[in-house]
Amino acid sequence: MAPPHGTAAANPNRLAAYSDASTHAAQNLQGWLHGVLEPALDAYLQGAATRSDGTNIDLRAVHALLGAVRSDLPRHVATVYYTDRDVHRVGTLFAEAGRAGHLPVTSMSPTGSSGLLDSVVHTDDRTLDAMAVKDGAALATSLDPHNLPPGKSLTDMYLSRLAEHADDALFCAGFFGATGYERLVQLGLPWNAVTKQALVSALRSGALGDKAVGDLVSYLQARPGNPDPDPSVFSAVAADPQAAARLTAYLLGNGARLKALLSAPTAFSQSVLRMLTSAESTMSVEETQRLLKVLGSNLPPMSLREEQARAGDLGAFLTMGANRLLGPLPAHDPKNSYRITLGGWADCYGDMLDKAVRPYEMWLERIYEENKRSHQEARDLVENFAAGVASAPINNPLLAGAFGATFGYVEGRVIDPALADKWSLGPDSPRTALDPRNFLRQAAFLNLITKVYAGSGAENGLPAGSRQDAGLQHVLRLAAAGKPLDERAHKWIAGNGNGLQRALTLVGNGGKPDMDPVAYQWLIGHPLPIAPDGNFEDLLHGLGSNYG
Amino acid sequence: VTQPEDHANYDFTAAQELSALLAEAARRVDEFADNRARWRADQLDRPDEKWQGGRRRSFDQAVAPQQRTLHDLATRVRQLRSAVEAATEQARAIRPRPR
Repeated sequence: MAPPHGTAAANPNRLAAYSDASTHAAQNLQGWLHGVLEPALDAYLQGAATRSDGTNIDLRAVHALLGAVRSDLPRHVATVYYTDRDVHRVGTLFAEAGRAGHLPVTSMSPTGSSGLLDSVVHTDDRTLDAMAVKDGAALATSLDPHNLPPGKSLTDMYLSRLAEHADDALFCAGFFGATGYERLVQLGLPWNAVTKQALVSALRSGALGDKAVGDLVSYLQARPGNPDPDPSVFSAVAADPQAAARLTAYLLGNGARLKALLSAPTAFSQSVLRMLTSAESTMSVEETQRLLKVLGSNLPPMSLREEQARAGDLGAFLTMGANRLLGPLPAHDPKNSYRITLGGWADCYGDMLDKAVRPYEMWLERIYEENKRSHQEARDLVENFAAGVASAPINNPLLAGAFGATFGYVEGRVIDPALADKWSLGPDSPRTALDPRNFLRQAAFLNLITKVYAGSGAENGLPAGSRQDAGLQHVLRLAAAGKPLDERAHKWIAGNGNGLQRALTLVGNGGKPDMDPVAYQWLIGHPLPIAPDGNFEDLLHGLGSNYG
Repeated sequence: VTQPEDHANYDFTAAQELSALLAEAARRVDEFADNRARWRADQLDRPDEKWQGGRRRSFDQAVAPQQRTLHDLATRVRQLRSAVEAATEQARAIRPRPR
């Protein structure tokens, strides 16, 4: 990310001297670790290998520490190397700023041992940012295809130069901002570790315009000679939520592009969905609403099998969206009963989920309608979708339950065509037990209870402490699956009723003794029977009927 | 836990060499971190030529935890050395299996 703007000063030669000394030492250390220590570790472990009869010296303590020395240490030395290598690059930017007029540089100006200016340059961060972008842009056109070293292609030369700057966000933004689609084709850059890192850096910079992002999307959709798009590019972007957010912002304004990407071969469109999920993880409630809407209205027609292959990733996207839509618990407004505030919050959440999920339900319905001759296939599809949702890496199993229930509804329709007339979900249609909206509202309230129980209310989903509570997880999984509570669940509830009530009290009154008595009664009374004996099962089953 | 009557399959020479190298590794890592701090003071923090600005702040934010991690890793290397030496002591205590 670009540093904040402000005044800046440095002696370029000093920066280069620091960088050169440290990177040289880091390289020496790394060489010694790989060349001397690692073989000694191997020799030791080989000499102390467990025999086939299992008897040997107890090396558990050794093995417990091996990872830190064999992997963590070299990796960290490499990180330090790159941090300090970049200092030389900053020195170059200061020197360029000096030459650009921020310091009177003459032929008599001192030059340090690094070859850079040996005098303090006073400038500002904005100028240095512009220098970095300009340097990147200059690279886009600077290499002469007629003046290459023997045996080197233009592509090789560019890859080599780009590798030196692949994690320099502004340089990469300058480079990709200046290439354009035609130049990218001319350079023939492959998508490898260097170009993918450079792309991620450029997207992360926030300095890449829509035209440049569009050119890059075109290039990664189909390079000449490589008609199949490479899914690893979007996967690399997905690994950096900030970069993913930039690419997603472009796609939000280009729905047709998004549709084309999702219509691409399976592995590629899966990587697109993962990238969108990554971006979604950074989004506000409003941004999430928009993304869900745009993707929902751009889902391309698919065969059952195509959809089936995307179901897991789409499920992960939807559940991430459902979590992001939650937002924080509402603050206690002393003018209103907290009961009303909480009720309004949950209703609002339920409505948002209704609207957000509806296009996806319609999409699934279309697939079913188009394949109604194959009930078994449709059933498989829905089961696969529900399984994908349930196994998606989400924070809150209750939401998986909500979506599982929604798709369970679709499945119910496949199994029993008599339910078809209840599919219509107009505003006045009766809400049956199979109406997805009931499940969504249940999800809203179960989420509320989860958050309240944890005493957090700050973050979406289950807080870390609760995630580690295997007993709570077990209860929630049963509730999400609509299964009766078993002995283990009852045992957990019996042992945690007080904790649940304490958490409710804390969240309800912000830890102060002047909690709204109406809110408190609402929280601990029917239909939320949070008595010390914790009738959690009634609570879970009661929510649907009260808030359907 | 190994019992005294168990036999040991243990290369004492490799263990001795590794122990010495682990001691050297820990020293090298600490020395690298210390040198880095010294170069930083000498080159980047000179009163009349101090590096300033947003990139300096980003650099400082990256370096502080890196330095702590370097010293932590040196400690881990020393702990590994202790574990190797404990294993060696264990091997020495085991009687050779009768042939």
